[in-house]
Amino acid sequence: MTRQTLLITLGLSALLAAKLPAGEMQSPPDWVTTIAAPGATCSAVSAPGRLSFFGGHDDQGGYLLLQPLDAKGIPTGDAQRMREPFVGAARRPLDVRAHPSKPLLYVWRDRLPDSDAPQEPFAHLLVYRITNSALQEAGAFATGAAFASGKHTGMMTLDLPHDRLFIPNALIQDAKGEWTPAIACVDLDANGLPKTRDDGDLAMRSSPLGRLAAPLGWPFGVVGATRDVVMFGANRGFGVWEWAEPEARLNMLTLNWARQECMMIGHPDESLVYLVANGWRYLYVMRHVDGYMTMMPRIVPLQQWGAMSQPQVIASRNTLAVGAFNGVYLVPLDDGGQPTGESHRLHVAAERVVTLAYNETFDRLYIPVEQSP
Amino acid sequence: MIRRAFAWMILLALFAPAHRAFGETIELRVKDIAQFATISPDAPRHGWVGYNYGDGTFGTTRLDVSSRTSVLVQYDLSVIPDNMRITNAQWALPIQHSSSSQVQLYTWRILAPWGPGACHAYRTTLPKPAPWRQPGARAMGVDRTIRPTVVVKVGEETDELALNVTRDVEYWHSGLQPNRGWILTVEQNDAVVSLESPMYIGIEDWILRITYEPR
Repeated sequence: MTRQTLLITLGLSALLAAKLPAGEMQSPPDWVTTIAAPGATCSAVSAPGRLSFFGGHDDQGGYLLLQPLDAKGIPTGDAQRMREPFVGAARRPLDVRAHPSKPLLYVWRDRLPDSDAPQEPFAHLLVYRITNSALQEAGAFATGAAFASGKHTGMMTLDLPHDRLFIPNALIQDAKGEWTPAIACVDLDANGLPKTRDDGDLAMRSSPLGRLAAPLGWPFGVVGATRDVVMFGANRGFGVWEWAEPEARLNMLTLNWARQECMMIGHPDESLVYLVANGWRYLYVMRHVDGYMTMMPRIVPLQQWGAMSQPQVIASRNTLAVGAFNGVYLVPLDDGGQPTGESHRLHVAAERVVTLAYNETFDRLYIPVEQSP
Repeated sequence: MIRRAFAWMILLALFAPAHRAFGETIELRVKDIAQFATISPDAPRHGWVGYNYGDGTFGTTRLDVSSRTSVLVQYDLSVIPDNMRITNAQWALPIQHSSSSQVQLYTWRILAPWGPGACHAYRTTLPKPAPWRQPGARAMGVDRTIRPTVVVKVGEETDELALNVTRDVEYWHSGLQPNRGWILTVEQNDAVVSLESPMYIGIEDWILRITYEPR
């Protein structure tokens, strides 16, 4: 063997070894907490209230799991399973969001899809005050024909600076008087409660979604770029809602014809949004200027399984987390928020991880699993 | 990481001298696109107006080049070593369809600097909005060249184009002109050339092949 052949062989061998897929992570980093919440489909963490919340539907019906946390955000004491809000027409929590600076929890509840449960009207939006690791109802909102029922999914988002709440599955009447899907938000008062009109209904701002509404629900994560422009995950792509336009102009940008639920989140410090589609094996990283997408997106393949949850940005650790089959992808980011090209898959004891909660105060990622480790 | 760097060092040490001596052909792909926009007066602030549904919504899964929609692309050419002469550059574009058998697709060099936030109204919006001389980068001799680099007829059966852009790449690489990329247009009203999107299934098919040799 000549010296040159030997060097080529050595070089190629080292290159091939370096190209082997990154190994799976069997044990979580110390900033990850798993909480037993079988079948959880939504989650939130309240630092002011020292509680984590996981909502879902199991063989006994809809539930909301309340897990007390200590001052560092680590679970302490016994969890409580709350079922009372889900025994009537509304059978499960569709989404939960915690106010970042107030001890408040927003719960969006819904009928089960295709259920034959009673059709009597119910309030979709419940707001709770958190006191001593318990929930006290502060208000019930969003009743009536302006909210679609029996949806599979749909997300709430608290926009910075936490004075407006985007709500899922809203409807708006078109010129013919027919109800059509809409992107909608409500302003919050100084106490964090939704503002209402004189008749008690939510004081909503909304715009028709048209083809941006997926059959299963809408929207899938809202990112406020400015006070005038918001972006949101939608059917087969995402939308841009320009508040300042006279007619609240709405634009849709399709990314993939086959994937309906495109879930989006923004980077807290960079003008970047991250988007995955349910079941799709690619992560889109898109740069925007004031909410308008610009330049080429980076398209990062995930390892083996498609994404299943809205991504979470853990900026302090330059990491993006995405729920998946049997685990969570942890995608390293550089200082500018761009993926470095690697991705790791943290194995967890859950068949499908469809929700993740990251809390900035605790700097901790919470993952629902089937049973306690 | 160390092993990977070691491997590359060995391979580069073996092959780099040969490249410098004899030149080579390289392929720049979607990942090498430094700047990109697809612009239209129908959404004057957006930089991703691939096609227009006609109801105020737009898609990016294909790119319609028409009298209302243009595509701007700038490749990063820094991979070409210094002191090389460009002997051939072919820009391969995947075609989805053409509205007729005789649609002319124009490729122009962009003259005005553009960047983040580029759209129909502005060539960039950072650090503050800077408009094109004529919206849509249409001002000849200012926003783009007076004469197109290449004009090709795209037929209904065409599924791929190879545009000869040798002179432009040589201009840019030699430093005669700054590399600000190309703008693709269709000047004829009611005519469309649809490209497979580099953000979607066309991601592997947008290729700029450049052959160079020592000067």
